[in-house]
Amino acid sequence: MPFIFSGKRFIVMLGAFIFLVFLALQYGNSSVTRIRVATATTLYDTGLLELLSSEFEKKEQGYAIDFLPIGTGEALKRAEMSDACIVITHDPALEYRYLSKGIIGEQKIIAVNHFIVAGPASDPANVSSSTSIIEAFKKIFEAGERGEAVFVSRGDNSGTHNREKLIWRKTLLSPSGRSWYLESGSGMANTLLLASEKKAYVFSDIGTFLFLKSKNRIPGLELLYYNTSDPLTLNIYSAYLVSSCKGGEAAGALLFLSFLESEGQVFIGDFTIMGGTRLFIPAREYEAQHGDIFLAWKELSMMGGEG
Amino acid sequence: MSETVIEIAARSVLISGAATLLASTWSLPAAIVLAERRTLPRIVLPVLESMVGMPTVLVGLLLYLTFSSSGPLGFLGLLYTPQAIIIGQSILVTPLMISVSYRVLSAASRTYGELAETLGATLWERRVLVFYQSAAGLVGAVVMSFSRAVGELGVALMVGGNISGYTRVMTTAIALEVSKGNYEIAVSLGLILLAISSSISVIIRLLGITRVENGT
Repeated sequence: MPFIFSGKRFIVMLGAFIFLVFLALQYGNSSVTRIRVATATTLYDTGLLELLSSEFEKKEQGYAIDFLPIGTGEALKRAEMSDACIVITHDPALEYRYLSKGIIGEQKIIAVNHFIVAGPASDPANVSSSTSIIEAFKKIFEAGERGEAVFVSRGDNSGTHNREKLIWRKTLLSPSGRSWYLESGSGMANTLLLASEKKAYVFSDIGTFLFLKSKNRIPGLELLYYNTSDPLTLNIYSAYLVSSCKGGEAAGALLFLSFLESEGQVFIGDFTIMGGTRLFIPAREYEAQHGDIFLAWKELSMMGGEG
Repeated sequence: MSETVIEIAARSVLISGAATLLASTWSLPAAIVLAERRTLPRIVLPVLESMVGMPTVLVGLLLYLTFSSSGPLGFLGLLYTPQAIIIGQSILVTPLMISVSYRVLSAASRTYGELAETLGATLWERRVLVFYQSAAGLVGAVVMSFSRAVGELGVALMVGGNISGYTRVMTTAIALEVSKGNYEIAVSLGLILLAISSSISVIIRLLGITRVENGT
């Protein structure tokens, strides 16, 4: 009777099966302390953060930095859910709200760069002659209404998108719903690629723009407004400790935060892409040239007030 | 990229393979029990079949809220681990595995099960017979579930976190390359994923067929 043999084989297979499942559940366990760092995508996509974490892991044994590249809004949300130990974000107004609720603390401003406006080389809105970002946006609005320009917005409540909305509020114009105002609903790189295809204007951070430009990915876009003395275009990246993070992970997180503030500054300053272009200015260096960076952050954080 | 494609691909196969095995520990018995009933499948199956197409990102979000430190299972510390993806994908593929296995088993149950019963087989003898007679079809159900697991994005992204060298799998790596604007890399990763899942399906099916032929 094959039945009986089948029954035995069945039990042996079942045993092997349970063993395999058990092995699978053990997979990936190790003794290092993992530090969960939720981060803005514009910083992660360039590769800078992985460089910083590998240098940190070389210096401090027994820690592994786990980056969760999820964007500023979601990063802060996960901090609130206690699902991150450090957040690295670039939206002063939003950060201020979470700071005042006590969800995050130990602010370290780590790096700075600037927001820019890119668009087609023909520049129908004449953005390149603008003296302020507000003027540039007004020109795009007018050209859009005339049917000569298209603008692509992130539309995803990211740090960059929130800054774009802040600037629109300052112009007292409302582009939302206009036929020339498109929302990509995706990350910075995708939005730049879309804008390049559509020969549209786009608001971006200089880092992502240069990164894609150096790879020749966005031939339809030229840098049209880049003004490092316009305070509204200052893009400040801050790292925070999440208050609910405790124990060994929090101890490691504090080490990483102070690393970002000290040795990390050198790596940020030395981080270049093809052609030797720097993507970020270390916070220390910026302060040496322009004075207290926290004041600039404070000013931007007060301008928020989601309308 | 800081780790090789081979590492990511191997992790994908390990995690989704484990998830499929885990899912089969409850899905196959459930399908066997369902195949023996007459009215129960009429209620349960339509529900399961509609769940087959659930958006993975929704499943991922619900699991995230469950595994979150502030969620009900937060104390397990599973969030952002490969285990979380394994559990998540095993839940994700359960409706698919049960509904496909049920079709195979209920056919075998009618053909062989009732015959075995008339010859005086006990309940367990009957179940083992039906199970072995359905082996080829069940392998198909398992392979299909593996494909669904290895190709899903939402769960791996939400509960795994796409951590380089730890929870980054093929689909989350593709999503990341897309978000970076590296479309060519994303496409080649996609082709690799397709090659892996289809060659695994072929291998398992070949093994499955020889096994069944030797066994009966």
